Amino acid sequence: MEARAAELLAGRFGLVAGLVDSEGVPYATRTYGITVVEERPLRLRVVLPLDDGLPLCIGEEVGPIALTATEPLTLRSVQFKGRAGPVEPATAEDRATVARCCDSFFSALMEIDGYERSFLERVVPADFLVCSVDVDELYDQTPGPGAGAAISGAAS
Amino acid sequence: MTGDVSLRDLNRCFEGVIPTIVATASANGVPNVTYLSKVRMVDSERVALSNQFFSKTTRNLAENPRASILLTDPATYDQYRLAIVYERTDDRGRVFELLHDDVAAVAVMHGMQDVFKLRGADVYRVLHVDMIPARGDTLPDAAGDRRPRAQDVPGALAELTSRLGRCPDLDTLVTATVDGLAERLGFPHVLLMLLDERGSRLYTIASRGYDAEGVGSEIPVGEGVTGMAAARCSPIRLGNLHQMRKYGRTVRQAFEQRGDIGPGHDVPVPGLPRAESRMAVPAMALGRLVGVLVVESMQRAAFTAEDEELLMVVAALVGNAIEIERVRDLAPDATVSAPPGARPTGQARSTRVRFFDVDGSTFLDGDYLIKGVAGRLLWSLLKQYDDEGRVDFTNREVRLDPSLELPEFRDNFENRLVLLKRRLDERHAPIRIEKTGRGRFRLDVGTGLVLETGGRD
Repeated sequence: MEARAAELLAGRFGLVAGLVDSEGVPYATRTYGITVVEERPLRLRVVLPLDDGLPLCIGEEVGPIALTATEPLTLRSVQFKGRAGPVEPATAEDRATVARCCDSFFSALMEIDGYERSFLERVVPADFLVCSVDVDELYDQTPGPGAGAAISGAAS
Repeated sequence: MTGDVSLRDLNRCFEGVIPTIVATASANGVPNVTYLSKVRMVDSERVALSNQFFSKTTRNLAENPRASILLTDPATYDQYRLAIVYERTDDRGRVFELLHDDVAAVAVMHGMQDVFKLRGADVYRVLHVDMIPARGDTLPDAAGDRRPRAQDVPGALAELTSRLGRCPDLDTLVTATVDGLAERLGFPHVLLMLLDERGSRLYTIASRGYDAEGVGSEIPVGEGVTGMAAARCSPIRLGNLHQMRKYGRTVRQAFEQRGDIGPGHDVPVPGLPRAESRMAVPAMALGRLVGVLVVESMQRAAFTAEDEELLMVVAALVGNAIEIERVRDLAPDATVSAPPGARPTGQARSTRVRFFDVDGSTFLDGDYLIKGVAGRLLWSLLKQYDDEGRVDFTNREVRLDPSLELPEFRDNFENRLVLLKRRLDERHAPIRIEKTGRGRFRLDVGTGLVLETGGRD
């Protein structure tokens, strides 16, 4: 995996997602867990919220997806773009991923931004969906004039 | 727009406390997702998104006008997904100015005014709002719980107005202002800054709710949020200072790495070191800027649009009262309300006063006291006291002293005199100034003096 992306995913980060429906209409959402399944080519397993109005059904392919991971202190961000496979129900292992990712991200927000954990937990949904994402492209999404620049050697 | 949720219900979401997420898609259906620095409500059916850079989001919208934003209420953590469609980009007008102020506030905090600018305000029509309720019980609204209830505001404002109306002089007025805002209107951290004679700097004349009163501390007009409110003569209300600092630092580093600006530093801002909310409202009188009223809070999104309007009323009252006092000061009383004073004799203790003519900086026993006009004023008074034993003065004669370097027009002498008085009081100095009548004052020196000069003389 590209060094910047690897460093980001190894630390404490927040993750948001952009999806599109069959008519090309985009949807913004949060994601609650991510696992690196394979490094070359890059394949991720991503946990999405259930019941928050996303156009997703179990067994149907998600299609094109964008994921932006952001480190909460420096706002250093990387966007992963690729294609997501069929939607699956979350397993116990996925729920453990959610617990680990949320714990890591929330601890950063509590430390850096002074949030209370009980408040942060209010945005965590009761249940989840999961999909695998084959990443094709990486972009530097850090705020500033260079945001959106492609990161070379991305998914290889 | 469909659904039961109105954009007006989402006021808190637009404060930018919790960053908004935006997703767009290209013509061939490839999504893009990122955080937005600012979203504003335009009217009951439209929102505007700030556009500082020609980003992928902007390029996507040229191909596919549909977008999705996810807003989060910072009090309840309820989320709202807005399905929106791009309508136009404004590069002037009310909506542009709203977002322009938001972007400029980040820029002035990090010295990026020359490079970090709003390119346009992208206006979208809202097609649908979906609410994603937060889990758990409904939370009480913590913000503003020290503030009077809406129905009590007119009474509190009337009482504050009455207090201000009874103030006999500027010194009492500035104290009544900061105390009244804290005690009657529930703003515990208040700063009143006045514009200097040259219109280039603001200096603190009174404060409430800080460890040190900070009388005499200065900032340049145009610098920081308070300086920007002064430069624009329009209020600025921010409820996410921490996020803005983080965002500004990151953007500044990106500009530095490209060589667009040199390495810099955050502009120090007087006030609470970890303030989350700050509102700066200019005090105007007869079309001129007199000063700026600043309130702060450690809470996120602590101040509402209604608070802003309330502070605008108070700032107008204070600005006009200060202007009246300035004009009145030009015509002193014929009567003297106190008998003439005399130089005390046999002072056991001596205070070393060191004055630097280059900028009027004045030190008492090695500790900095004040600079500028107020420093020159103190030096002039102490010289007359030392040479002639004089303790009683009139504003009219003192303001003619050329060593004060006052401008001929709108010299703000009375403001500077009050600043000096308050600074001496704050420091518990053995030298004090007491008002003895309109346009008259007495120098009260409870110490022996050793007068020294340093620097250009």
